Amino acid sequence: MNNKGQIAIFIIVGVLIFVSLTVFFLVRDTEVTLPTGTEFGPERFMGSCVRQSLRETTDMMLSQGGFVNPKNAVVSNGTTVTYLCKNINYYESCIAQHPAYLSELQEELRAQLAEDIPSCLDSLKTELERRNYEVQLEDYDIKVALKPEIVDVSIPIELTLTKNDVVQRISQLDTSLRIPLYNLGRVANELVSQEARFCYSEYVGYMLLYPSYDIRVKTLSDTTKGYSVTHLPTDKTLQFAIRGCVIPAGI
Amino acid sequence: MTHKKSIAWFELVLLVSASVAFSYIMNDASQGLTLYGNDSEHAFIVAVRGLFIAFFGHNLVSAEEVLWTCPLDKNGVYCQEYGYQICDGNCTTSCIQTRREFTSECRIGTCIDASKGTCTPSPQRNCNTTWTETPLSDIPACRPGCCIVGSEAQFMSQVGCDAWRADLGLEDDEVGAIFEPVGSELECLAKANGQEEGACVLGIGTFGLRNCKFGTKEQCAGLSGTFYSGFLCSHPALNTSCEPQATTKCVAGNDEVYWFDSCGNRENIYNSLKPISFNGGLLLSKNQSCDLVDPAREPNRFSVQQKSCGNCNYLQGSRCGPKTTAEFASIGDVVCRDISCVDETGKRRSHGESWCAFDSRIGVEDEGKVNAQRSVDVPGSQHYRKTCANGKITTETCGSFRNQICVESVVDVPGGKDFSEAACRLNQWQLCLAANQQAEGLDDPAEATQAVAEECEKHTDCTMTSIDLTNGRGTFAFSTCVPKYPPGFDLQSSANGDEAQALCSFGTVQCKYVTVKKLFGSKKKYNAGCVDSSGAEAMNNFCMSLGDCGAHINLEGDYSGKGFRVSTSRGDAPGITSGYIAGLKLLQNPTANQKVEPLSEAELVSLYGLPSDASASPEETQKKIFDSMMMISGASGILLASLIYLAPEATLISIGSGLGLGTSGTGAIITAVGDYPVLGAYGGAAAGLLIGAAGVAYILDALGITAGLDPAITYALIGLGAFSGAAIGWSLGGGGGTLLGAAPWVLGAWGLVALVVIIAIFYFLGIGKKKETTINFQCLPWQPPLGGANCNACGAEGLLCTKYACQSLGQACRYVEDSAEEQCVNAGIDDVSAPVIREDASVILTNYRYTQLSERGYHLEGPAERGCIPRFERVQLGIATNELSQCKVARVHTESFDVMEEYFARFNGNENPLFRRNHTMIFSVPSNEAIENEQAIDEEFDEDGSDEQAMHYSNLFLPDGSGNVNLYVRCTDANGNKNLQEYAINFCVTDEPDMTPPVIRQFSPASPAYSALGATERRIHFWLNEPAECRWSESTDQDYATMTNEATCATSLSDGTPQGWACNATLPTPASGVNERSFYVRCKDQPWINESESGSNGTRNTNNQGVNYIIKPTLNALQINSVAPDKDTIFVLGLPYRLNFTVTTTGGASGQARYCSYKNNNDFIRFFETGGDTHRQPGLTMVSEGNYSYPIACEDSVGNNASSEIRFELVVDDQGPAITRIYTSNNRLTIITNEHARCVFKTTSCSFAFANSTLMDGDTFEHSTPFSRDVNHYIYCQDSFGNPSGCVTVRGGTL
Repeated sequence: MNNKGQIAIFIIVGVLIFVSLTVFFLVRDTEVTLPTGTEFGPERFMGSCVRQSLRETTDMMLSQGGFVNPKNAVVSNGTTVTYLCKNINYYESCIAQHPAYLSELQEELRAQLAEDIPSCLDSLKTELERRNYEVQLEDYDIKVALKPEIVDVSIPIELTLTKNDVVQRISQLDTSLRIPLYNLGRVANELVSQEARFCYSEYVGYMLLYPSYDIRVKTLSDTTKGYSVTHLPTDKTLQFAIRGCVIPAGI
Repeated sequence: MTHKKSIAWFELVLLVSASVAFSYIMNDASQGLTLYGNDSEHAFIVAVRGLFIAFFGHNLVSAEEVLWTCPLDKNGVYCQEYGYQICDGNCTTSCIQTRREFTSECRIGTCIDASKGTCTPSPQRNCNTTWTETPLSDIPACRPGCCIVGSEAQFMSQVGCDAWRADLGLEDDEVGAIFEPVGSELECLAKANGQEEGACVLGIGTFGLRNCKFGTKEQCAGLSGTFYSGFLCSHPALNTSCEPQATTKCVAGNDEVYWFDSCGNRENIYNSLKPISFNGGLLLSKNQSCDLVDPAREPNRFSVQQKSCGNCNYLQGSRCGPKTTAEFASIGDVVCRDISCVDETGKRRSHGESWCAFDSRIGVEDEGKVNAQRSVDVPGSQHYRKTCANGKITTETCGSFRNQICVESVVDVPGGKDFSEAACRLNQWQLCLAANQQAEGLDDPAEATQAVAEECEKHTDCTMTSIDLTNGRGTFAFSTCVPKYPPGFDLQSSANGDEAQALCSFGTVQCKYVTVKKLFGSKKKYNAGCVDSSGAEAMNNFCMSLGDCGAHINLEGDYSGKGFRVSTSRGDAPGITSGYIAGLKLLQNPTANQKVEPLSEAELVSLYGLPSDASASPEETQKKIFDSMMMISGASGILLASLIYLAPEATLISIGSGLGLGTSGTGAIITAVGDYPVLGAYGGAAAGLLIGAAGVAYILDALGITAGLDPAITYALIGLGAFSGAAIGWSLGGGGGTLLGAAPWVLGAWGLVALVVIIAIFYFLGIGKKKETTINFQCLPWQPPLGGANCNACGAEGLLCTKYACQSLGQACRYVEDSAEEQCVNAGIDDVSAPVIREDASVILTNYRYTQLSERGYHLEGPAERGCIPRFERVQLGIATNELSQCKVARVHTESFDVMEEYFARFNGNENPLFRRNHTMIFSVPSNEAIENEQAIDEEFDEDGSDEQAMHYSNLFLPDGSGNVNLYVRCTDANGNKNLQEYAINFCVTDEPDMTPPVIRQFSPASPAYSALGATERRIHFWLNEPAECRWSESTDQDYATMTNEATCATSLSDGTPQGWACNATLPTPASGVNERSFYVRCKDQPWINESESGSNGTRNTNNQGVNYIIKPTLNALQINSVAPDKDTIFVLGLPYRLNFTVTTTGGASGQARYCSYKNNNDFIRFFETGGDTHRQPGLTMVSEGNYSYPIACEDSVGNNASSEIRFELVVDDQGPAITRIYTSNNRLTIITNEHARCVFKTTSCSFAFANSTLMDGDTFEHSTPFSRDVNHYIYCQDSFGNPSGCVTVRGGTL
């Protein structure tokens, strides 16, 4: 191929690229990805902030029986641990207090994130404004899904960023964190179910069949059982309390 | 069926022993690890509650208490029950005025959270998802099966499986393809990892070599690679860049050590012989890999092999993990780690093994040896279960206070190795005490003993113990059923202290040691063992077998003797010896191989049902228990039926026999020592002979000489009397002749003179004189030693520190729950002050008040004249201390706390040494007059009476000559700081002559009482405020003197009970057609006064008006109207199956409680809910198919009864419905099934889900749908259990 031919091809390709870009920007109107900086991205910023909140919240929840502010709880080693199953009287088996436990965990987490995410958004807004962006936040929602070994957080949002007449719209912020809240919740639910039905749980058998879990039971105050369920691969521990089938001394 | 039954039994044993039966897994048995239906312990404790809690129910759920349901209480707890008085106050809303199970929002059903796939037993109130009243185990979708998704399998319910699939974004698959029933969880888990694996070759990488990822075919497809099944990525033929066997690693979710290639791909299981492990680049299965465990190398196990082999096996005790300094690997940093453990004795324990541990001797020592047998579990000791898992040993406390005990069994596992399984199970000690009720109503001691022993033997946790302190002569011998593992008490809880005191009081008993002066030789001794230290030790053995009672040691071997006291009315009390105490201290350390016996099959069968006497009315049964629990006697005399029945005489010498009425203690002693010969008549041949013999016998007996004579001498004297009488009678009768050269009457007269002289000599020599000594063996709750020096020993020996263990180590030891470091602390380490005593105004009764209050004491002012206390009134007074204290009281000044003997805590006649802040005394004070009169009677029989009267009435606070009572109190705190000064309490008892007639305090049953249909008489009880005699008349109220029917009443001061002095009477019941029968009761006090004697010292007071008592008849017979289940055949989805019984009744005595029981094994067990007209027994667990028969017996509280039977065949329905007929009619396709079912169809294929198909009309046998001949109909049915039928195809145009 001669030089003219090559030049012609370059010209044609260049025209095509130009036309394509022009059409693209015309069609896309103002939806562009803004150059917000080399290391800063709204999704990444929010993901980091939400994950931090998730870590702190789940750590607190796990140590307290799955709830950030336990209402019906016993204090053990300085930690307030929720009763998942309780009967205040003697002899009778415990009454499950949180029968839809996994759903409650999910809602508890969502509620706590609902308190934390506004500050994440404020921080994001501040950071963006510091970078001379006009930030418009219309509405947002928070969705949390507990899945095996994972917590997914999805934030449908109407976030508009404008800079130099260029507008970027963000409709969803997603993040996830590897926390076995679902797994631990399922184990707790199984143990509660056994306690409510049979006055005991065969936690040793469970532990043997599922080597990923280490389950310990400690007697608290001679009437309450304190359970610690550890997910060995992640070393996360869920603590909860049960009171049922208590036999008083000497009766 | 037999095989199935045995399997079911095996399962039940596993369930009840609360063990996962890891050996079961290891043996690869096919049976399930299902955990259904173990409500047995629940049933047992409910039964126990019914029997015991009614009597001890302070702050507890009581069968007698009215409980209401609070949907959400102020602590945020859902669906709790509170006593009706306090329920609203604890509840965020108004309480529902019934028990939880009768409410719609709080009864237990199943909460199904479909989004998360969980089924949980719970009330509807706090279930925010789907709730059904059906029990969890009866919901097919909640029963576990195997959920298989891809290469993973999980043992979960259908609901859980659906949620899991949804989480993974999978669609519904064909019915049964993913969720399937399996025999066991292990079987399900084994289904995982079934997908083929291989090398996934990707594009060209460096140097023209290809990249490769090892994984499943599915994963490979996702990477768009070429899949080579069974190949390793390093296979030479694949020409990849991956070099084989670069390193070794663990794989998440797998147990083994694997080779990894240079690309990071997993290869075969590690074997140091690389070529073998490489296998030519092909996958090598686990079975074909090296063998880690070499049985020949035990006990070194795999310490050698682990260097060279990575074929770890979790179930056999090894798992991949980082090597430790003690482990070796030829290559890499990971090895098959030994996850077994070495226990405290150095024994190797397998992973999953569990065993029992104890911190003291347990069980029974010297079983079967009279006086020596004792149950030895030490106060503060518990049973523990230790478990080895993942190389670590964990320790779990079996329920505190020995409410649970640890049972262990050893099974053989493959390889000839022992495998130990342990479980904490309920300690059924309550049954032992209940077994003693079997003696009720049996007069023959041998028969009664046999009955108790037979019942006792039924219970694994019980043992018969025998005490015999007669030393060959006397009556103090008894056998009782006691726990093998005595219960512990919470000794720092006031409420539990009362219960402990009540339970220990079973072992409180009085023995009367009697000596009788003989003509020759030493005195005759009766119950001589009672005054010997060996007797005291025997009684302490008995006492400590009842619970944490008596003199005992704690976990540190510290002896405390405050729980056992011996006092005597005369002389020194026998005590336990230092040798005995040394023997107790040996109990501190457990012995090797001590173990708890597992429950018997019979016990499992009866679901721990407490035996009940179906023939006895509830009231009678309750009274029996009431009696046996010492609540009527309220005194210190043992009322264990077994003691009483074994020696009827002993009934009378036991203080507080309650209903052993009408015979004085002294009279009983005569009976007790009366082994003199009774001369029978010679047949009436000569009146004189008879008169002479009988007269002498009477005189000897009346003067009390007989007891001191040998039988031969007694016979000789009686013979002489007979001869003399005969001779005189002969002469008086006109007989003549001579005898021995004299007239017969002369010889007779001389004989009489000789007799008189001999008897007079004997009398003045004191022959036959008795001297009795009362020995009071008092069994009290064991008390920890003072102070807290040893608190930090709690949790030593590798066992856990619990509240119970802590409090046993010292009175000052306190368990700190919220402590990360020290759990048992000395709370009184800086306390050097003695308790401060003041009055306790909270316990004083109306019309009473404390006066002259000072730091030195107070005066109790009563409602009688001069501020005195009326005689025979129940007095209640108290003191409070500023710290937990133990207080003692004396009636005279003493020097120090230590010499005082009586505890200032008296309830129902029993003392309680518990440390507490509020100390209360409840007692009654007789008048001086009454005491003097009774003393006068006693003195006739006791030559040393003046010395011992105070002790004789040791249960009474006697006023001095002026009617004053002085009490002196001192206390000690937990650290042993004791009051030096006495705190004085005084009051006076009215000295006015007794002018008040007795008062009937209470009838049982209350009037109007009911009689059973057809009954001719009814026995009633009533209690008086003072000793009295009572009579009754019918229809009209008459003067006491003219009443002819006498009640049997307690007439001795010492017979008093907390309720008063008891009487009983048997009244005739109304005849048929008569609406009621009316009676009047009057009483006369001061029964010790003999009004017929001139100069009697007092006047008896008689009721001027009778108390009316009415008996009404039963008008309608008690009938059982319905029983449920009433089906001949019950189809169930699977076993075990829980079944509820319901029985309805009508009729019986108006307004009276009606109770129903069902017979299981040989015992009638009362329904859980009973007392009205609907009787329910929930949760009976059937473990096998077959025919069942349960006799039903109902009765009301007056003895009306009815019977029926629940009979059925239990059949497991695990087959789907069969379609037996198909036809069309009127353009409708109709099918007939052989059982109730629901049917669906599709027109495309047989592969469809039930839920996504068209439902046919009809849910019984017939099912129909509009029919089109143009299409095929693929029909599929399910029965009510979800069992599917096969798919039936109806082709278009075929019908």
